[in-house]
Amino acid sequence: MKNDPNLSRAVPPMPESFVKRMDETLKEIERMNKRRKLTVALAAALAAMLVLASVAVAQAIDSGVLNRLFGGQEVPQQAAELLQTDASTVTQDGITLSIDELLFDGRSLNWQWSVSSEREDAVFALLGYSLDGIGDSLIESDSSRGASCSGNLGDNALTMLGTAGEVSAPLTNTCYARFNFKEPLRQEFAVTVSAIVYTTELTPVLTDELYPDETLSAAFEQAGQIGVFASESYHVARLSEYPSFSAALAASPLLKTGVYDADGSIWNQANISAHEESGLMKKITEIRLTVPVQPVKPADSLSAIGPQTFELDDCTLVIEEVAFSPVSVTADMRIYPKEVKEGDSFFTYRVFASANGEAWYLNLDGEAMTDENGNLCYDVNLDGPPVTAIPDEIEFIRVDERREGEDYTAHYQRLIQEAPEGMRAVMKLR
Amino acid sequence: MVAIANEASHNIPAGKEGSELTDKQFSERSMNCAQRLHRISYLILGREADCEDAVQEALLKAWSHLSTLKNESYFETWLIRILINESRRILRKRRAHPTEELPLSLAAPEPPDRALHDALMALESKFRIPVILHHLEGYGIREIAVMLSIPESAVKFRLRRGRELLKLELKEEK
Repeated sequence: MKNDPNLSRAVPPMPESFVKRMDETLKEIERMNKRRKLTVALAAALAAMLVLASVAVAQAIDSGVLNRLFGGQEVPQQAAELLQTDASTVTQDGITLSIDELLFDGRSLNWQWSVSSEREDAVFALLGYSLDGIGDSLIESDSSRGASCSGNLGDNALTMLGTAGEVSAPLTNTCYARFNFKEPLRQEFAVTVSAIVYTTELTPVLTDELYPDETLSAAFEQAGQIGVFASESYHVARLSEYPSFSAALAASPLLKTGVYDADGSIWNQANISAHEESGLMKKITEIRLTVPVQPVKPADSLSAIGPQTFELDDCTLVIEEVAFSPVSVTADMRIYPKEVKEGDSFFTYRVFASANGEAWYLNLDGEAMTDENGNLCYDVNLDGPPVTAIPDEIEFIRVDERREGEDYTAHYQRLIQEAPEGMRAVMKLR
Repeated sequence: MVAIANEASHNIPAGKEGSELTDKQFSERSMNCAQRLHRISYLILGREADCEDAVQEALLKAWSHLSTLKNESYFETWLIRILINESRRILRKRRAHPTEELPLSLAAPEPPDRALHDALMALESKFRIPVILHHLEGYGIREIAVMLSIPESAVKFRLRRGRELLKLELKEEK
């Protein structure tokens, strides 16, 4: 551009918090990589240094749920014992719905299920799931801690199976889901998964992940086509998120027939009747599968504590709740900095859990917020992968700078051993 | 003595088997383009807190998919492409949850040229992103086409249209 404005003047200076977040993320990556390397190459040397918790038993378990929870690490015996693998399957009209694994620890439920097609034509399966016997009020509603599902294949999501024209989707789609509960559950309940399966005369059009809106718009503007959003692991029609959807909705005669919700929601049960009435979609089968969840035994009970407040040198720490089980770690806390420094974030703080002389660093997630009294704080929660033993205590430590030549493990060990009183808070869990 | 033993952490996938880049090189090369990552994410998202989320996710994804990077000399463009994807994902999430409470920004510095900032941000992202990549970051048409997975002709069109729209916006600002 001649006489161009200097576009760099449209951007504020890079804040330190951005660099800090990058640095922290890269350190995490390095730390994870170091740990993997150590695990492989120095296992013998480490064994002499580390005190292994008696409950942690190395196991080679072929389990999607456990692999997802433990990331290929050692699986504690207690966790393995909670896994329910009595797979349940139902097949109708060439479509198979399965609940492959369930794992319930009293506070969280993880399960893996899958839908497969043996049909020659491409089908669209509307997937759903529910918990039977539990009121919604018991399910964690916090978005970061509530229900979650892999690949966006959650409740009322549509997945394509098979090949139609140039669009090819896998014949099996495996999903994982997780529910966290507000309090330990002792009652019996069940998981139900469902699939409503459709065929269509429409021609699927594969969209680009980066600019899906354009391809979708083009597809909408030609009656008889439907856009299918593609990514690495799933093929889902997700329409409402794209900027051009509203315009396409107004422009396309296909859309005006009521195939999609007027508010731009993705296909869901509410408008399936419109699909069918319009003749564009044809339901071929509806499958439901229910599996009871085994209640946890008293021995699997959780370690949880109620609110506690700690006054540290540079912040006030309010720990609302901490809970551990063989397969989950949850914590809610608030950090009130006494002085807000530019670039600081919840990353400035670290939490370690320890048991029997062994310690684990726990990852945190959070954000700055203003509490109900108008005070600035970091609202921090932890919903991480489990540790290999239920800890005796957790320790909150403010992080200092890593010293020259000090690796991450040594840094954390030094923090645990040497952090002064005003920089740490210890909570006994049992 | 307490030893760090088994670190519970977020789900960073197993990572980069087969890649030539070490974690140190990955870190260095990422940090080398920090300014660029910030400018691009900021001009897509316009909110510092979102930029930090985007860059964090982009780095984790880049690391876990490092084996898919065929030519290390394209590391930077490859990382930027991932960052753009992440930024767009955040934008879509914002649109899907418009009432979601915004994270409190502890430090929200003002851009040196507010009018230019506002004019640029007023462009649709499909025009704004190529303009940023070309006129601010200096990438060529072919590189941008690869980064955005669109034909070179589309890049040219968006650049031309983006420039026109930006000029119009700037006139209106005046």
